[in-house]
Amino acid sequence: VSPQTRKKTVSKTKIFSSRAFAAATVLAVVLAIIMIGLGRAGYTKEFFTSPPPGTSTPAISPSVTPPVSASPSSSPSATNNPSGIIPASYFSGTSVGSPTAPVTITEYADYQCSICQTFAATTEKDLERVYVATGVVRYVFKNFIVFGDESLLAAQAAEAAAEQNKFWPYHDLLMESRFSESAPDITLAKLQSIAQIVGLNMDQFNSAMSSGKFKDQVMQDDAEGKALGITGTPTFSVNGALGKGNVPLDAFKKVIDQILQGTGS
Amino acid sequence: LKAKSKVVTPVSMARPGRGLQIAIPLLAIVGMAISGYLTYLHYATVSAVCLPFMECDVVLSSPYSVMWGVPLSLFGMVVYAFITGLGIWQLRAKNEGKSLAALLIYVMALSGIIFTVYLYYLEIFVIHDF
Repeated sequence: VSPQTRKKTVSKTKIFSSRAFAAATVLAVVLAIIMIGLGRAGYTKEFFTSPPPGTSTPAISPSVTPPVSASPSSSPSATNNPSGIIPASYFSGTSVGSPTAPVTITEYADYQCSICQTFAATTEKDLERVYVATGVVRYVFKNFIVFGDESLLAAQAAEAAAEQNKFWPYHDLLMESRFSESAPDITLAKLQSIAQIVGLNMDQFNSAMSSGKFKDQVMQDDAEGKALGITGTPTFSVNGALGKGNVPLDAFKKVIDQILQGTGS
Repeated sequence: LKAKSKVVTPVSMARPGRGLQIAIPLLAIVGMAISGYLTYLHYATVSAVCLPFMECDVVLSSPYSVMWGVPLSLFGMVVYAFITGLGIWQLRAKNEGKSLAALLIYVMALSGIIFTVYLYYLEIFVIHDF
């Protein structure tokens, strides 16, 4: 092969190679854009499943529906009722809200679940402010154990606080503590420390913890969640319609509006 | 023949070395296994199973984990299966075939990376799991 021929073929090959590389890069970008586009078009955007039949709520006056225009109040608090907006009579055990509220939201959560912790500090506060305080929603907390023995221990401690009518401040502090899903960082001493901050009767609290008084209650919540087909936390039931994950306020508003208008559950 | 060998030499320079050629299908098989496990978790009716190095299944169970009714992890499995096949082809093919396989792996991997960056954006800024 003459040097000229060799130079020519090599040059052609290099050009082909770089062009092929450039074309492949463009093709990859186009493919990715198509996948993102298909994804955006094909996502299941509904956070909530269809409600089970037979759970319809009679339509009530739309005037009861509160506006959801205020900006989110994402400030966590260690108290039941930081701004005094929720009537004291609304607090009962692990629930908060008017007993006659047309909508019941039940949260199944684990105190070690990071999404549950984020939700408790953000959207849960907004729900309390917008819907619970106005008597539209009764909010119920139930335990769903995902992360094992430490979660079980924390759940029992919260139930022990509920026995002394201090569930919500205890729940809020547990969530704000942001215990890890994987690191072994929940101890009885830490749970006792939270109990002291909340102002529980420590003898009663310690007795409940040492006897495992609320273990059955926690496991009953867990079994109830499993029976509903729940597989992870947090999961929410809004009058029977199930929603998973860090459900935004807008998604709650949508399903609540449907219920209030008599078109949903 | 000499001329032919001269022609393919510059192209072959763009191909990965032998070690990387072996690593590609092996890593793709690991990817297939992980995607398979995540697909199992998606369809599992039992309580969530969380790996020690992973967050729990909220991201997996969010509305963004399903595209056209199919879990994203299943799409991932298919992509990894393609890359595994291409990786094996690359190992067995000669010259131009080898280069073409490398190029296709590049296309699949780059588009996958871009799509994954988008998924991370969703995870951090939309699902708020961080």
